[in-house]
Amino acid sequence: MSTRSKWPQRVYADGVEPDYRFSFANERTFLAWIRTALAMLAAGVALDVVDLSIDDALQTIGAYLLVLVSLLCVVTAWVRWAASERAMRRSAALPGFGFSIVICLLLGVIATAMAIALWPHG
Amino acid sequence: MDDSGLAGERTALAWMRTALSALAAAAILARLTIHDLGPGAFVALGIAVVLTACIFVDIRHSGSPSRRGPERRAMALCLVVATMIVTEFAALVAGSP
Repeated sequence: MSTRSKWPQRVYADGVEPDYRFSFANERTFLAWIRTALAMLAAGVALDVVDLSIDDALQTIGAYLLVLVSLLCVVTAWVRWAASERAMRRSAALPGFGFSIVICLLLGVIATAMAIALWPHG
Repeated sequence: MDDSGLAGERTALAWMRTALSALAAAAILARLTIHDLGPGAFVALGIAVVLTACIFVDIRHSGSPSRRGPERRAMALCLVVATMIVTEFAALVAGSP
């Protein structure tokens, strides 16, 4: 594989081609993030469409938040794939993942709100 | 670490289940948003079908995705899912007032 793509520049501009197994593992991690994004989107659609015994406004807010989480997962998938591929090409450390706290907090808030709202009354 | 040379096959399988999941999600999304969005509901489904077909063609010959273009197929999948997200967002906006 001597001819390498020039895009994205930030990934492929320099460095050497890593063992293809590492590149494929990076790609499978990217796909796992995309499947996570799809699951979040499905949950958002469910909240939008299914009629639950809770306040409609709360359902709509939950749907918007889950769609936001889905978008964050898509961005995370791409950014981490690119950053990891770049790091592997330069034999540098893989990117840290402090940003994950944002997704964790959002999901925690949504799950807690749903648990409270769905708790049986009387 | 996988030494048996099957990393390509594992990656191909991961692509197929991801592409098929995206296709199923886009189909359900189209069915559920057609009321609020009309024909716009099918844009995401259309490009999901095209992407899935391209992935299958890419894998069919060698059993692995081509090693030379992960960035292209990764960005294509990001755009497909982003389109689905925009579709649902539009449906939420259209459905509320």
